[in-house]
Amino acid sequence: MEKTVLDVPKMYADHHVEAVRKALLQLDGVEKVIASSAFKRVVVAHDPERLDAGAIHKALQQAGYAPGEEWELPEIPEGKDDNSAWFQTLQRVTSTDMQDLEMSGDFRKY
Amino acid sequence: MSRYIATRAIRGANLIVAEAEAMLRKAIEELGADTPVTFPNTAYYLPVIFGFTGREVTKLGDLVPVIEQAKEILHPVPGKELWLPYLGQTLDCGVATLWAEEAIEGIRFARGLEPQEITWDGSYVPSSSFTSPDAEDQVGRHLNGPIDDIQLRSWGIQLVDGRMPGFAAIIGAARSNEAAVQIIRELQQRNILIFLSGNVNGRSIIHQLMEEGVEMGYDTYIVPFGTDTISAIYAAGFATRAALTFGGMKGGQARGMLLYNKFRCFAFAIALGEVDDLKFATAAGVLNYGFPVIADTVIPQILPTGLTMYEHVVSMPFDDIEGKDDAEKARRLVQRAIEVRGVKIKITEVPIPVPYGSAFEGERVRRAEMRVEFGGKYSRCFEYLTTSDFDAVEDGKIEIVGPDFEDVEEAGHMDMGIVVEVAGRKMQDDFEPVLERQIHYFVNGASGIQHIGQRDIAWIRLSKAAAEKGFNLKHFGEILYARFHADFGAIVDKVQVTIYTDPEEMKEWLAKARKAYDYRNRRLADMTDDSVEEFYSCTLCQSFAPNHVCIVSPERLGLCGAYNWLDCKASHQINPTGPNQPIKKGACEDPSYGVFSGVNDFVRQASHQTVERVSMYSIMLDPMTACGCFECIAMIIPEANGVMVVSREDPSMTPTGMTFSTLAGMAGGGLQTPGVMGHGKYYLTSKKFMTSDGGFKRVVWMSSFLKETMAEELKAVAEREGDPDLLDKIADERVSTTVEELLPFLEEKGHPALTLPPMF
Repeated sequence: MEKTVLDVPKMYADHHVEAVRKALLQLDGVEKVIASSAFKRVVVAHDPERLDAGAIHKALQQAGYAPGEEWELPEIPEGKDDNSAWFQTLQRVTSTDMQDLEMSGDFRKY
Repeated sequence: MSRYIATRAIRGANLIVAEAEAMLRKAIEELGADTPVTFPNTAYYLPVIFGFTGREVTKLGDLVPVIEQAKEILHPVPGKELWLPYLGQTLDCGVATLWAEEAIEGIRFARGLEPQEITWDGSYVPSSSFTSPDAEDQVGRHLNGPIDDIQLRSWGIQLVDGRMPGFAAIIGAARSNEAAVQIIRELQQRNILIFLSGNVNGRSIIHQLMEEGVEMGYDTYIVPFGTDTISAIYAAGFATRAALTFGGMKGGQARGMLLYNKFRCFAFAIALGEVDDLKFATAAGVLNYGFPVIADTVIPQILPTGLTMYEHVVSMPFDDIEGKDDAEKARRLVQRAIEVRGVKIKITEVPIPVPYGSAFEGERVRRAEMRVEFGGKYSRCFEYLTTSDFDAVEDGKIEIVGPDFEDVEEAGHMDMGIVVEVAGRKMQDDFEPVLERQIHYFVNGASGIQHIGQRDIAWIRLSKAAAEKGFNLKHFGEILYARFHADFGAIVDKVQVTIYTDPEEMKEWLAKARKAYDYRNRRLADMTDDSVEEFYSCTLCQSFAPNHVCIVSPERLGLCGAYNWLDCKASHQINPTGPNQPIKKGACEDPSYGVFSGVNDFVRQASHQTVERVSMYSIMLDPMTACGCFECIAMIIPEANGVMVVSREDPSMTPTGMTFSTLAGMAGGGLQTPGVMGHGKYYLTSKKFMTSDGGFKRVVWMSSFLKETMAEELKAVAEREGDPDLLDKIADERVSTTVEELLPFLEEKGHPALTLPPMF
């Protein structure tokens, strides 16, 4: 039994874990898959005679999770705080809002 | 603010928005921008997006501006050199994450991939009791997906009266199956609603519970959303809709919606197992709602208060929790979570060998799992509560008269009578049926016990598991003794329970009980609005719908169906300063419309001057407001010169072109809308049902659910109205879902509404 450890940066959440496990567990020769979205790493226990590391690499690539490949992030404008949509939609207040006070009063009551 | 958390949450947000955008682009290419995007049975579109932005997403193309807006509130991942206060950016990114996650679920629905299928070989106990039941062959084959509006509303009263103190969103997988079950049981015993999602290395707490044979479904307060973190968005959707449904908020009132949740919705998240970027980002999203997150792994903490009532993010590594086994550690984890959110729990210790709590009320005991049953097809079971003299009642005495069930064969049956004798200075004969009805809820709260019916048609099943744990007949008495003292201690000073299985004694008590039932029936029939001096208010729901006031009279029960006039009277005795206050009727300004000066004065003050007048028996002139928990909605159909009555259980289209969910938006939230009225289903049988508008003869359309479940009662109403065939003249969703279909039906049947005077 051989263990192959691969970094899969695209696997940042557990729905990717499900996809990666599905892609690997269907390969002949794979015994066990441990996929961690926190560490973005996959450990595959496999029979080297039936499956080599290259095939694992290829399977991941076909599933859209090529080892070492990152997601393309959206471009984010820098320093836009006061003009952002969020700020425009919701006025930020620095003084106590009467509505907050009333609601917290209710909270104490209930 | 933890830089580590900020970094991972912001990175997660950027990634999920990018992923949602890519998915959306592909979906539009493949399916087209006009492909419908809907969550089942909701009037709130994609609720989180709708609640925050007011955008009404109905098709894939509508998601494009949502993703654009999400991108606008994203922030760059914190740099390695420059340290900043990251809280605002993290929270913004959290919101973007929620929108992206909901957009992804919308796309999955458009592709037919939601609700997720169950792909696990476990001993799953399928539940067919979701409000929108599956087709027979689909039962138990897929997870729940989003909770529909119908279920949200039916939980309304439990959420407001404290029976359901909050909800817990559990994401990931527990350390062991033992820990998973214990976490769930701890939450269930506190009646906390449980939402499940997420996985760790492909294994979810949903799988763990399936393996352990835990029954999941609305009835047991355990809702499996899906096996990934994205499906946790349904929990945020539930919270958002609570604000929109009960808080009278409109889509786009983001600030009000978030504040509402912070102060009124006691929810928290528990992250089990490793926490990845998306889990951090989702946690940042729910922090906006004031919901804290408790993790059972080592992560940085955010302990100051502000957004949440107490700590924001708490790490409680499972291995470091003191406890002799996983179950004890799980127990402590849940206790900590409850402390962090400050959830108010009202718990009654019931000394029985099985878990106890409202969350077990809906649990069913199937024949295969059954040890013994009382009542039903093969035996008789009755329950009777009576007031006795102080000296005749020995407080705490529980007696079994006759044999216990040890000698009954497996899955067998036996006769049983439960007689509860109470004494109390404030106890009145009129409260007997109110208290007796509670036996159903009290007995049902025990895990492994199923109670159906009441009076002499009660039917109780006891599971093998409960019997193996040592549950016997005496424990029914223990439950009733503990709960009557806890819940009705203000009117009940002494409680004694006798369980009869001896045939002779049982026969004798059954005769006494039937005599009492008959007396009560006649007493209730005599109780009319004209025969009493006082009505009662019910402002229980003001914690959710601040301006709504229910007026409960003998002939008009509360719109939730849970409180009638006697219930309110008893409740007032129990808690004189509580939500049920007596209202002197005062001068009757109009007997047909049901306008009383005392009622108007009370409503004006209790609704904070938002409602000036109420007509008790009219849908057209100053109808009573509604919170959101109504069992039915009546709405005028002008073309038919009548009204339709749609029940909460009916998801189909109505002739007004709106489903119950959409109508509910018009009827709820404490708004007074002439022509629309929320009411309890038994108001339909009242002599005071819309008297000013023509009464029951005005009903031209009614959900078939009501027709079938209330067949006997409605038949009696039809006869009282002098038209025994009236029910057959009323259309339902099987006959017509449009006005064009409705009118010919009414004409063909000769419905009396067509000849009544115009409604307005």
